[in-house]
Amino acid sequence: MKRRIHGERNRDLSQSLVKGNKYFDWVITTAFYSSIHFVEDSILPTNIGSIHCKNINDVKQAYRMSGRHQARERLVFDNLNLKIAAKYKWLDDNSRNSRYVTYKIKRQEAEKALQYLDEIYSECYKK
Amino acid sequence: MSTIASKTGTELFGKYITKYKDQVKTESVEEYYHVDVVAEAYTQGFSDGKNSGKKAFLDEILKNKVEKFVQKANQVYILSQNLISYLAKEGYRAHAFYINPFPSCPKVVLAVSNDLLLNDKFVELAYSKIHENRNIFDKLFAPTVLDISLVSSENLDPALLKEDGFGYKEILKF
Repeated sequence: MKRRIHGERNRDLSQSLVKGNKYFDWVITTAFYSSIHFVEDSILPTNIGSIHCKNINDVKQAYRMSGRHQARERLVFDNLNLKIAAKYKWLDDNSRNSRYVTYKIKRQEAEKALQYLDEIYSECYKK
Repeated sequence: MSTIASKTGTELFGKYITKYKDQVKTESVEEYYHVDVVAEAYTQGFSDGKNSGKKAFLDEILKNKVEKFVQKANQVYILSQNLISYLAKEGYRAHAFYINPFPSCPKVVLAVSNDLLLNDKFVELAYSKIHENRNIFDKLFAPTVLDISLVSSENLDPALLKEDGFGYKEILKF
């Protein structure tokens, strides 16, 4: 529950930023960090092989990976449907790769980030 | 940064990797200093006390490391081309790709139009294929992970990519 509340708080910030019509790059970043809370809250705890994983560090060890982002990405692809996992990876890529692009992120991209975040949220908390 | 046409891509990527091999050797020696300690212990096991055993042991480790690096790098290139061909068959054109062959975590950035990055169908299709290719690499080289990501080609700054180790660039011409 704590993770969900934290994720929702980040999502609120992301939605506020898009209304502010200025910091679209931060919309994507906060949307991605919001999605991290939702996917971890939805998937963990889980068993990977013989290891019971309660947090992302456990997942990292279970997959024998050195990076938390990489471990989380694999966790998402292994546990959520492929279309939703693709949108998680889109958020991840766009939050990391925006520094290679020398112009400001457009409103359309920020809105796409919020659309994908909503889809991830719906998948994580569907009844 | 190597910039080339896709026709000669395989050959030029091979040349780029050959240049990079020396760097791998140097980095390996620095990064794996402890290997020297292991080799020391190994040498002491020789009853004749000659140092030739240590040198041969270190040379063998470096040789294996460089060979492994080349195998991984070639696989990264093949899987990148496989992704590009797959997307082309589905009607989606990529503009360029960039490779950072860093041995412990190779990375590929594929540049596509901004419109494609906003196209849900493309996003689902491309990332599903990326996941598939990543799994192939994982089966061959785990725990080394291949990271393939998508970026908008509009206003992309290759100099920034180069700063982050993406030393190989290939512009795609269809």
